[in-house]
Amino acid sequence: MTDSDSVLPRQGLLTRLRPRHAGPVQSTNVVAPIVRALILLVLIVVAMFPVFWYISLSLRPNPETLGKHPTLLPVTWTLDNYLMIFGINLDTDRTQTLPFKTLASYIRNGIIITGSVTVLAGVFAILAGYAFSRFEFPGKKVLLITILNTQMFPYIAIIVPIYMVYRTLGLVNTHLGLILAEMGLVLPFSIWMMKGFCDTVDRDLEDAAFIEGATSFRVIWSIVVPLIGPGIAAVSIFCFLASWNHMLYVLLLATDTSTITVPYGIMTSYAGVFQYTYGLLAAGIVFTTAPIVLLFLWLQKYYVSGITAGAIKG
Amino acid sequence: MVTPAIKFTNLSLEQRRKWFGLFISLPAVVTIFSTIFYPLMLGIVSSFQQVRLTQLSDTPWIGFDNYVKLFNDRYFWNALKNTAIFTTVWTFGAALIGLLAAVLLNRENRSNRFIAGMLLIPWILPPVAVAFIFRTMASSRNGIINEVLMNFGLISKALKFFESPDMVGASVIGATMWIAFPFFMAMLLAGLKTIPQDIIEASTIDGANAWQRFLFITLPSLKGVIVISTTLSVVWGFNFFDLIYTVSKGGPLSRSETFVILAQRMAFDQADVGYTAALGVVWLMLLLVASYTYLRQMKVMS
Repeated sequence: MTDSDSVLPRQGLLTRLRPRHAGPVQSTNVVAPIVRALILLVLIVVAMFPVFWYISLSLRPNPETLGKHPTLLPVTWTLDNYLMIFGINLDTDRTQTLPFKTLASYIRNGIIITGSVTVLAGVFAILAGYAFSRFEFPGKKVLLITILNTQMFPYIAIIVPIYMVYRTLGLVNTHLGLILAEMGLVLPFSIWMMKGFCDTVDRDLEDAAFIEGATSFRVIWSIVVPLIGPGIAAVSIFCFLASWNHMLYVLLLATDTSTITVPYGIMTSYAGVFQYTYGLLAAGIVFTTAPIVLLFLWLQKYYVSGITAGAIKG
Repeated sequence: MVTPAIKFTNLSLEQRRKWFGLFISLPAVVTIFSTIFYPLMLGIVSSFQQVRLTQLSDTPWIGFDNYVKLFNDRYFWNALKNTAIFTTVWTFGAALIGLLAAVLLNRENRSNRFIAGMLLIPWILPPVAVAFIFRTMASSRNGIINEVLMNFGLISKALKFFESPDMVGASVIGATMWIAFPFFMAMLLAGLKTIPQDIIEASTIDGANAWQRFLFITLPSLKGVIVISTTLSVVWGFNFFDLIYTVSKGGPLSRSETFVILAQRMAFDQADVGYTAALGVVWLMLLLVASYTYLRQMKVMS
């Protein structure tokens, strides 16, 4: 025992010293882990139960979802609701069904709009965030402050004027119109995120390259992009999520299935036409949300580090 | 050696960097100005005009009439009250829960990462989906929440969470806190990681207990992150639309009507663009003043 004292890591030594100096620490050590586990358990249940509940609802036949006294797990398990999403109706009692064509068009619009917003706003935000982090240029301070403050803007105050402008330009109910509007929505925070991230990345390498005289875009592509890769990932995920989940602009600027995206589509069709088909509504939501959740779980490391980077160094 | 005849490369390095920086930030700047600032200017202008959605070409100037109408409208004061209460309570609540989760998950290991990953899910779900989930779960007819509460004998009659005027506010706040707490957890977790471990160890040796360490080391070090995340949350809270619109459309009896919901109703159901624009201007002023004082206060405190 005495021999090993000298090789104990610092951490271990401190823990061994603690009881003598800090008295009550040891007594709480028994209770603390249990309390911690209990609180975490409650948090996990609170966070996950609603998700579990909708998956569970989506796997029940319709009468069961309407019955009183719901059970945690389905009494009768069925995939009918998912089949109905695709327009396959095996249950002859149910005459209402949303043609898959409609949901498919919501998804298609969502992919077109979200894809464009992610790529365009992503590239714009990466360039601007990088510029704001690295370069001194005329008007930089004013631009930066203005852009960051736009996050505070009441979007509803913008939406009526946008609607008026769009009417004149013929952009109401077009993909392009929604793409532009949503880009304005996601850009300020994306720029802030990207700037925050770039501020944390060492700039010696790029400076060297600039001095070597490499053309600026080449520098960015081969030196900067690999360095700020995680920030780029974070911005892309943010743009993707914000655009895919967005409803306000869609509600006001989209008028039919040629432009309506998933959230508003679900809201109008599943909830409107099928007010009392909880199973189908649940299946629709699970079906359209699961891919996003899985994508997020896969990439969350980048997302979280990007979102927090700006706040931490600031 | 032929030097490229492009002027750009003839500039000094300093100059080149300067213009390059401006150049690559332009696409974003132009997009933001055309989709946010230009409409905002139009909005400010139309707040002094009589503009109806049905008649956008003929817009007479009416001075401050829209503002007078606004300040005499009980729905405006109702929405102001709701927005202030909702935003304060859900930001505070979400921040507290987020802080609790962050402190408990602070140690970096596999299981903590896994749990944190799970707890982040509410944050990324579409608010519309969350609204449906909560409305279904909280239904007074056969919602699971009422079922559970009744089974435990906590209530004898089903609660009308989103259906009764008295409960809708609290229910909306609860649902929003559910969405927002992971944001605080993520921000605060990242903030906790920046606290140097030796300060904690040193204070432990000096006899500080866990609570004292939290109060005198952890919290003060997190101040910057707390300021930024609460500011963001308040700003987002003011613009928060999807969930309330889906879950209650501001009802019943306008008890959950916030600024966004009121603005949407006035602009598109009542077609009164001028009124909505005035509301937007007032709202912008409020937010600017609030965030300015808040940030100042925080600076003064440090």
